[in-house]
Amino acid sequence: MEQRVILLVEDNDDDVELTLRALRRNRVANTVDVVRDGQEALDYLFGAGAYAERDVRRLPDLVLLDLKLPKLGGLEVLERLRADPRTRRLPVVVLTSSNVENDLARSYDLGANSYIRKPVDFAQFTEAVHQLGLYWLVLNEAPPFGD
Amino acid sequence: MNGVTDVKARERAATPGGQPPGRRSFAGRGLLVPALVLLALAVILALIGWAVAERHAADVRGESEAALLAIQKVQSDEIARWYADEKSDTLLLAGAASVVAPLEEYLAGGARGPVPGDLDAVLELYRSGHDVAAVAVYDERLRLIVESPGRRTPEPGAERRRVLAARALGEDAIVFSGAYLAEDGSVGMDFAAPVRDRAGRDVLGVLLVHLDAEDVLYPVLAEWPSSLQAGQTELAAVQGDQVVSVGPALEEGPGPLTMSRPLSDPDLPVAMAARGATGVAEGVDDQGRPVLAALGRVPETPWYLVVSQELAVIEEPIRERALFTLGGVVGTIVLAGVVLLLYWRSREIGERKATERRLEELAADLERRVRERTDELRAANAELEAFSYSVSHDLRAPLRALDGFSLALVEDYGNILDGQAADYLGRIRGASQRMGLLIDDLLMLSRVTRRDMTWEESDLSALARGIGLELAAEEPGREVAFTVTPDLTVEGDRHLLDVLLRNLLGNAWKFTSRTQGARVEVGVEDHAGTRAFFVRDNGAGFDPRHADKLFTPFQRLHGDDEFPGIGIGLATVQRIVRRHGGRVWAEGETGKGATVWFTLGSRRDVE
Repeated sequence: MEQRVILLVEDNDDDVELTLRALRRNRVANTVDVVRDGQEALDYLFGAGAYAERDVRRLPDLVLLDLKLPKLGGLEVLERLRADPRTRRLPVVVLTSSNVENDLARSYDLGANSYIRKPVDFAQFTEAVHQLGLYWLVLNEAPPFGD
Repeated sequence: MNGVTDVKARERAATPGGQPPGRRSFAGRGLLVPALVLLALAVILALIGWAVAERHAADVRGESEAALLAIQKVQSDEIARWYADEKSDTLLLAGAASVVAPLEEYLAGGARGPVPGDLDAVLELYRSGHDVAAVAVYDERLRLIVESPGRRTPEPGAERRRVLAARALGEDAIVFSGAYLAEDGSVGMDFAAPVRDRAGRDVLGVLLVHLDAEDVLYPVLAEWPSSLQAGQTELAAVQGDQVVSVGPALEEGPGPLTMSRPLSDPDLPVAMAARGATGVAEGVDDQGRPVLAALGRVPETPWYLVVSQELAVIEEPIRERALFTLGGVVGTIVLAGVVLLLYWRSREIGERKATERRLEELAADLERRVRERTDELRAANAELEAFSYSVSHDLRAPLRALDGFSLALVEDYGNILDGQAADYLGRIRGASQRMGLLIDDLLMLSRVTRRDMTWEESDLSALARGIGLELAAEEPGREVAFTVTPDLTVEGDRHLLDVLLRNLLGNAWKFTSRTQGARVEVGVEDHAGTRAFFVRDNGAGFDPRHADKLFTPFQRLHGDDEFPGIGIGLATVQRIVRRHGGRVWAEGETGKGATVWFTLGSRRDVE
């Protein structure tokens, strides 16, 4: 089985730890790369800044995107990803605390593949991560990359 | 802000002199000033008009007086000259040789036979040449010697002539009879002069010249050397205590010498003249008409001459002119009034327009301020939105950490934790999760208030059934008899109505969790013509004494251990009902279930 890579865009250490824990427990991903803000996410994906050496042809299988991020917000990151042909089809799941209607609508408008609200109850959260990992990394047929 | 300062500046500018715009009355202040101006103008114009008319009257009166005086003087002089001429002619004739010589001769001859020297022819010649009615010569004893024209029989008046002749003899000088009414109805006047001998010593007789006023006197008076129309000249003489008119004959009334009036008459101009008055005087003529008269005595004669003019005639042009002036004054006043009225009207219209403009400006200001407030409100709303966002996002993350790591402890280190530690961690997790719910509900409450309403036809029955299915799915083990009256269609915001039913049904589900044979019912009843919807359960109910606290946020009637919750559901319900212009209330009893009623208004009630 080839390497499954998830990019987690999350600035909160606790949330990072909890998300990693949930992903670990579900054993859906071999690798989880974590970036702490929107700009870093773009650098990672487009091989810029600290990630200039990274092979950009190796895209993650799934991006878990928080919306409330320093520097560049999650919605802006999403907009940029969808505007670029290289990342246009990259599966992006919005994983956020917000259940503000407007965020939901904007996320889908900008081309989010899914929207998961992080529940306070960790048991529920773990279940949600398990479900989405199973779906996006195992069941879902990945989109073709490259033009 | 800019708009606010502008408004204040304009308000200051709009009230000069500190007069508030609302307090001035157009009618009161607007009419008073023009009315006063008009009144003053009218008074001034009336005074000017009066002065002009008065001046004109004085002028006309002065002109009339001067004319009357002039006429009186001229005519008086004419009569005096005529009198003097007539007198000297008579004296000349009385001293003429052609008269004296034949008379002397005749008397010397014993006064018999014909008078020599054709004396009668001489007299006849004189008579015809001098417009004299008759000439006669008497001797010393007043016997008629000769006369022209000659007469056979003694004529009437002979006695009067003899008396005059006797006076001439007695006075030894020429005498004048004055005017008298002759027996034939004519007005006569006689001069009698003594005739002396050629030596001029002895008186031989008397020459008597008889004149007819119609022939010699009246023509003098008839000459009217002025443009003064319809004036009247009267020559008068005094007879005892009476004033007698000598002539000429008046157009109306009795003829000359037939009318006598008391000398003492205070108003009669001729009486005034006869009493010695001269100059101009106002009086009343024989016909009782007020007249202006020039008075005076005719020099050398026994007569008074009065030239009069009716005041009515004199004042006619004054009246005309006064009327004309009055018309001018009134016309000017009316014109001024009209001009002032038009000016006032235009000013009033101007003021009204200014007021309208001010109102428009105020309306525009108001609109702008409303716009500003709306913007501010929108900004505040956006701020609140951001705040809510922050709350929902940032407050939940720590809770998740609390819960997550507590669980991690239990999972990873459960083997070294005793029962109490596990219990504490459970409490941390419970508190975190409750707080998560609390945040969710708070956000819901705030969103319900701020959400823009979308009015559409909504089916409460369908919404309720959907929620019931979800609730049943969440707690598969429970048996709840859930009934919904079909076709409860209303007008309202479907999302808010869903939240409303979700809260009410959630409560009903929750409070029947310990009830055997739980029933939850959604329906409608008529309340005084209004549809009142209800959600009824047979659950725990509540103490009706605390019914008023049900809708207060965070107010709970049950302990958390009995029924978990934060007490914000009914507050949310109340807000949604209010936003629909409706009313909400609850009925219940402890242990016997609760019913929450609500009505919904229409869009018209709310907007």
